[in-house]
Amino acid sequence: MITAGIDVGSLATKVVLLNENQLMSHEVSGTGVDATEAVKKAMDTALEKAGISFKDIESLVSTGAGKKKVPFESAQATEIICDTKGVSHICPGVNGVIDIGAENCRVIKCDQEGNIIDFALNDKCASGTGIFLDAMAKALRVKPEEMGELSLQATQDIEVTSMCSVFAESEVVSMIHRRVPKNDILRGIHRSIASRICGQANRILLEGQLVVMGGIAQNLGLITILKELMGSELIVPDEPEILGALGAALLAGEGEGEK
Amino acid sequence: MTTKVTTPGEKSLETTAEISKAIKAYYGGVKVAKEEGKPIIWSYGLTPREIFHAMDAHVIYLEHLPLMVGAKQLSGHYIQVAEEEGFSRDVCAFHRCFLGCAVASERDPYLDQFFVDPDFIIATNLPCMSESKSFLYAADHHNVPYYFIDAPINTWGKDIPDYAIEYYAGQLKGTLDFMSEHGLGTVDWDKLKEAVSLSKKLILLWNEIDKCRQAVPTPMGTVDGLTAAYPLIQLPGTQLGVTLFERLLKELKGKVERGEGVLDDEKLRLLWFGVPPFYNMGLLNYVEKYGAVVVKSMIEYIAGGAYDPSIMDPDKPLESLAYKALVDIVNPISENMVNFIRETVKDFHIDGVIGVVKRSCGLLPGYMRPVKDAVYEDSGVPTTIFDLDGLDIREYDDATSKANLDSFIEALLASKRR
Amino acid sequence: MTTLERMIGILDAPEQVVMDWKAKGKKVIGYRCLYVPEEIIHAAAMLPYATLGTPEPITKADSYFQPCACEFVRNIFDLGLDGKFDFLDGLVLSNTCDAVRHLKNMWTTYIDSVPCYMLNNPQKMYDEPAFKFYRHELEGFKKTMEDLSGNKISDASLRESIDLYDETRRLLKELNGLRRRDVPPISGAEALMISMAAILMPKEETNALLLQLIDEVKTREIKDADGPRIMVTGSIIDNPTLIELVEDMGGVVVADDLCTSMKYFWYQTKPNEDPMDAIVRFNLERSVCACMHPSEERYDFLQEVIGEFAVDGIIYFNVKYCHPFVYESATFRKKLEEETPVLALEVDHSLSGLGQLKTRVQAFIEML
Repeated sequence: MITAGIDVGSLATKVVLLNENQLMSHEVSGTGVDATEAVKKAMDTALEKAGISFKDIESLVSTGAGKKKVPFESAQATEIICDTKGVSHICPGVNGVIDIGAENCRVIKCDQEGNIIDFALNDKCASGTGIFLDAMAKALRVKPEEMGELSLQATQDIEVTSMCSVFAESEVVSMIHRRVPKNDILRGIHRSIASRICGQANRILLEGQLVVMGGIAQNLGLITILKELMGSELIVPDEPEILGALGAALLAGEGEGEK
Repeated sequence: MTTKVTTPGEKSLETTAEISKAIKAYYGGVKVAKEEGKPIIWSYGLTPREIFHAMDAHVIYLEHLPLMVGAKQLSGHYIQVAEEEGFSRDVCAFHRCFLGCAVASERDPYLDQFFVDPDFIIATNLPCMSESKSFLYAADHHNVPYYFIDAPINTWGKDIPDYAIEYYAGQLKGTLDFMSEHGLGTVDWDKLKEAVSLSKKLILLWNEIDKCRQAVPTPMGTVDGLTAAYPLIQLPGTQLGVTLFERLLKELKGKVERGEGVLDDEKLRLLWFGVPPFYNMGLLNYVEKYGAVVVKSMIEYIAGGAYDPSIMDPDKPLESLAYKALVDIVNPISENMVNFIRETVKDFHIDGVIGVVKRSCGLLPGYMRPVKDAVYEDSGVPTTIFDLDGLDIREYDDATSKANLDSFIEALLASKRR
Repeated sequence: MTTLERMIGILDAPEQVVMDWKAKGKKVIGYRCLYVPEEIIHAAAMLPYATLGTPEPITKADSYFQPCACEFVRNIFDLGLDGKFDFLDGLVLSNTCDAVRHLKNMWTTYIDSVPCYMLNNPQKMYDEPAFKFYRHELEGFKKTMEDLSGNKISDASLRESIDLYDETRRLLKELNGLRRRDVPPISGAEALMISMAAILMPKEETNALLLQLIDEVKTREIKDADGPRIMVTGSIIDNPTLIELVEDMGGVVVADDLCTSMKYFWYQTKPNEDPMDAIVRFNLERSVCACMHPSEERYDFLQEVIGEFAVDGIIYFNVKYCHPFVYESATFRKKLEEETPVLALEVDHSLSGLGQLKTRVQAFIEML
């Protein structure tokens, strides 16, 4: 059975195609201003890569903040369900998931069989997420994808105390004026985000072997500090941003969203 | 302008519509009393309503007025007024809202229908301690006398020692005398005894109403329940409260017999712990798309709803009221609250608990974790906890609230399928 | 080393005080809040130990308390979960705020290593029925302390303890009285640290040190005493960062309203034939916290201090989510401002991130 999972995030749209739960193809592309158009395009590319056409898909599940913008008939599921499904498929037996996306950070605690025990979403404040990092990258004039690497070269610990991105930005700017080395500021920023995520994880007593997913999981600087703060074993799989879409496609295989 | 995301709750019972009318009539009476020159009291917390009714006093309650203001979406405005007056955002949203109404230079026509200035204030530290102090500001502002009832916290459980009863009952006597001195006439002890006897009747009726709500499907969810709790919280000691509950009980019994529920096909039964969004009660109906019903809300039980009335003795009115107040589930720190939720989850066949945290609350957030653990340990029922300020609409985020509910319910349904 | 340095040095490792005491085979009772009568604990031959927080970030406690619970209480609970208070033979809390009430609940539910006791003190002052209720509670507390220690508390031993603690309070008041001078002998930060050290140490040692200290600083004068004279008031702080900031900006902190400083020693017990009654009245005839009724008592104290110490300006800080003080502050600030300029600040208990307040403090001091 060929199934599809679509994860419409606020910055990136992800599509995964499976045949009998085996990966056929996947595609990640920017969501942009028109989510519907983005989904169509990502789907077309994924279909092309897999060498099939849309009518071959027998079942389809969508998830993510923009799941209602998906132009195809599909079942819908929350990120919590899809993340857990995707993670326990590739890393069975883990104790939980940390999903750091552009505007959301989710932590999920699950049992050995991948059943959800507890979860926590971030509040409407975005200071533990991707757009916060992007804002800081802009203030420091570095590329977002280089931030993590640079922060690892820091030589001292600087505290960024503001949790709110607006205040943090002005704090960072004043550090630049005081000629605090960029790498040290970056480490401070990463520490502030990591401690925020750590606090969220603490709320549900998340510990043990955990998978970090979402676009920000590729930031090695953040992962390093997060490991330090949480004292947990953190696993970052390849392609950490497609796990939600993968979970959605797996759910589709279980009979959700059959056409 | 953003699109309006809030909706009022959908009620389904006839008696709750009647209760809503009784609420309006009550405040109408307050307004008339003020015009006739009778003294108006502002009060708060678990100050026994029976003593007010026995004195025919007209009272505006700090926790009730903001609910009405909230339901009309006006709470954000008055909270803002209080903040401009110097009240921190850490001050309970109910108090900020009430104080905002109190000090606002102009009042909305809706508020003007029932809000009048006080002639004196009766404050207490039950259930929240520091909150009593916000009334000091109001007392200063209106230059009116202030009486404070100090309630010991419940470190004893069900057996309150005599010296604690004596201390609290003595202060109730002090309150009665204070009211007498301030223009409410002499204390009519027979009337007070009658009020205690009516209060006892009321709680017995509430307990029967509760039994009906345990039925599957439940004949009354919490959208109706929060209105239905009005007589329990504000009308104990009155014949009106008893009459309304008799009618409600009759209506519910009929529904149970006919097998009529809020939803005919209930898939999930939920319990709400914390303050629901009064400006958007539709959020409680939102879960119905999953076949879920919020069967109960903990705050319906504030003021005696979880209480065994058999111990009430009309011949010892003040002691009975003291006992009722001190063992109330919201009086910290005994295990009464945790045990009450534990039992409720079992008796009402609850599948999941929704705990919401109002950041300016000093009382309920501290119970979240102990309740969550106790319920899970006892019944294996999970609890989700997220931020939601039930009164301050400025703090409300519809998408996040719904994302939390969606995630929780999907996880519950998934575990049910297993 | 001067006596001043020696006392302040105690704060570097306050546990050492406890270890020395425990080495004698005696027990230690942690307590939170001034409404716990240290004298009763001491009369049972145990050391009352004020549990204070640390500026360390909170970790485990965040899964128990919601982030809107007072940071100080979360801090204490965090240390408790971490076993940092395992040296205590018991913890006594008093009924002074919603957060402490929850701390009792959480502690009893989740921490087994140290038993926790809640003293149910009234919030009504100058009230005979409140005295009577409190007396009952104190009798129960006394019994618990006797059982825990295995020592009977006689009237004579209780009176001795009261005298000892009164002496500490008297000496601290004498020392701090010197701050009335045009050029105070000790800075505000030093004064806070001396008080905190005095609170933590066994009073037998404290009193001897305080006598020496008064002698030592009598002729001392702090530098930079030309700035405006500042009073700091607000909820609990247990490190000098905020006061240091004010002094760095040129203010001279001459007085405060802190339960870790002047509120600890300002009042004495009154002579009473019955030592238990002396404690009842001591606690219910003074206001050391915003939780007490009527509020006028605390307000009068502030006015008294403003006059006596010739205060030019007030820093009124609220610790986030410290409800008793947050509620009173709107009322008080308005009244105080009629005569003395007030700067209102909102801070975290750990006092981290004070850098952001620097400009406002500086502007306030320049204005004065």
